Amino acid sequence: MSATDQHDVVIVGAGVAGCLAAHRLARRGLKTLVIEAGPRLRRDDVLKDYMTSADPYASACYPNPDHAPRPTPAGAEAYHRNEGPAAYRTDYIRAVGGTTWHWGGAALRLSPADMELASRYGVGRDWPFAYDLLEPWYARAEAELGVAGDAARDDGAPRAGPYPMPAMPLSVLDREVARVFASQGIGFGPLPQARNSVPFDGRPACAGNNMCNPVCPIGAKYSGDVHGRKAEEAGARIISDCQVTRLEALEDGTVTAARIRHPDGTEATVQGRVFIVAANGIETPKLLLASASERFPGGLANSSDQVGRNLMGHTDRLLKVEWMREVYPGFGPQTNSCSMAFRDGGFRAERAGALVTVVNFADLGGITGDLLEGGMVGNDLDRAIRARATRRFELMCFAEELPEAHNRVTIDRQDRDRSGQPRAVIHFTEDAYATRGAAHAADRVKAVARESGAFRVRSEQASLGSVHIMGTALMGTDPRTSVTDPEGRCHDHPNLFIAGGAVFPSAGTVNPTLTIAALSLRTSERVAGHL
Amino acid sequence: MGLKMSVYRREFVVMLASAIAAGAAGVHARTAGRGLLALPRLTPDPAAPTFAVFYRLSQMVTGRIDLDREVARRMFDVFRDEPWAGKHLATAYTAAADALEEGGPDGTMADVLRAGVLQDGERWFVSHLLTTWYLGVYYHPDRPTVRITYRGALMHEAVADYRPVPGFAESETGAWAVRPLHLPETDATRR
Repeated sequence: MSATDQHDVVIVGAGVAGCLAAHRLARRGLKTLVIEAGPRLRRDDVLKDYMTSADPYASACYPNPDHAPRPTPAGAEAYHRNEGPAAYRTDYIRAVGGTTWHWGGAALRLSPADMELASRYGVGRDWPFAYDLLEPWYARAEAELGVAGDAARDDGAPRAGPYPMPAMPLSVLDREVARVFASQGIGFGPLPQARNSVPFDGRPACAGNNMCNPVCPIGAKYSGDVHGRKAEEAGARIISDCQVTRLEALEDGTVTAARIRHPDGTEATVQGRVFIVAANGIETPKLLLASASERFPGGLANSSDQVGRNLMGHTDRLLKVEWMREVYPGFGPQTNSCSMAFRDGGFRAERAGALVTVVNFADLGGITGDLLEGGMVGNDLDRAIRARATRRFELMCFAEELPEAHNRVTIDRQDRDRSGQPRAVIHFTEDAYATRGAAHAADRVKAVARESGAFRVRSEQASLGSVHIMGTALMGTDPRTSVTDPEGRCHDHPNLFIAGGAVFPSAGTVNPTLTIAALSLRTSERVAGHL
Repeated sequence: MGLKMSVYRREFVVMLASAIAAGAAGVHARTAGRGLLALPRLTPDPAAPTFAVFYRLSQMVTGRIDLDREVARRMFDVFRDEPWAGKHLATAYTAAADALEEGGPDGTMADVLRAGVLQDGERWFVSHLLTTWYLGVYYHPDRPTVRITYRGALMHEAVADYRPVPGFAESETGAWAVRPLHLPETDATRR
């Protein structure tokens, strides 16, 4: 590429947001370029790496090259520097397709209440538009990703039409959990998911591999590379292994170019009429802040001093449980049912709404290792493995964190990561509102255990939910308190847009990916109109 | 409804067959005890560990005659480089073989290990070997961790009647909705 390369749209980041936008814009005939810092992946390679690796964490099978380093739970190299009282340790993938390569597939909509937290409950922020405006975009996102769900349920998010696919069949485990919790007045139901319950879009239906995270071996679970491929078929160009180091803008705020760096250190410039940054809630502010100039000393899109601020996630309570009878976890989708019982109500003035999800995963290695360490052998060992593996699983309670200006991402130009970019510095504090919400849901689960006698809670693990990265470039109508307008266009730059979780004004009570997809589709429509 | 019924019916047949096989798995060690005694005794050399002795000891500690030889070979190639590998292998094998012979046709390796026949070094080695077979991963405090086998890890056998090894499933969608044929529920050590 050279300084003369001119595109209609330049998209930074080839995750689900970037690939959906690229596909939509390329289909409109726009000359679209996507620049992705990380590599292209082949499913078979990821699978092979996972099955031959002895690394302890699931995402170890994904590349972590010097030219596109990423955070890992193992923390061998602290990609981010945490300087706040709480550690915001996340785990995302930089590759064509992004973190949807290893996501769990949960595809839920925000509810109207999720988007009106301030006006209804006096906390947090409202979204700059109501749910009704987003509903058709949710429908389009569900059609694009392929979402399976129960047509008879809306789970608090009204629907104008059915799901693209019928609900995934509930497992023995799902039904047993639902039965026991129903006896205590808490409903569980099918989880809407971007995982094929029937063959869809040229991809097979789920075959029960139960390895959604780290990777679906057969592509039944949606991942962003699907739209990466579709975007290229529609005429978009995706350049991988190429990092955007800064964006350049004129005095009037018009963004004119992206500076890019190849792994061998050579640099180039690409020009565009419109730029979309679709690089998640940490990489997006990193780039905007790194693009500071004499004209924009605080970084691009940052006259409000809001870029990087209001970092959010979900605060978790992970309950390891053991059922009294065999329920056979570890077969079928890793997440397949959930409870909306804690999602909404007047309590949200005081504590966060929460989602409780059945984690259908059998930690066979952990169970076996513990028994071996205890000296168990022979028939006793085999029987004990089975006794535990058929009964033990997890219930995840997560609650929304509020946007707080002091929870933020900044950069340190004196501290560079392996790619040479300024390192992200995260300041994060525990959100008492979210902690109360997660704890309440967990306490209710424990009460069900006591009252039903059907299971026991073996342990409870609390963590700040840094897997769902939201905030840092909030959308809003007031340029003094937000970074983008309601359609994702930066207040400060007429041709710069942001797509992804960074623009969320609230975290909501559900996993963010479907909302990311819906917003990306809406923003790309606006971009097309701009051109 | 028709598809659902066909899933249930087909999976019922599969589960029934698997359950019968899984029910038999519970007597692995006891059967193996008798089977192992029928095999000729080996003469290990502490200075020169052999695959044959390694494989035989693996059969003893896991209680399985039909261990995957390719997996065993990969495992041996890693184990043989450990310091004291030859000594541990020879001593553990000899002690275990002696104890099995003394225990008679109903003796199992589990009995051998419970009886404390092995000394510290050999007990550690046997535990290390058993862990590697069950988890499919070689761990050693002073050496790199190595994935020996993914699909062949013995831990999968305990749940093989209802759970495909992740990554190798070819189930019909919804097969997980079917409760496996009811077996007497295992009650050993839940806590």
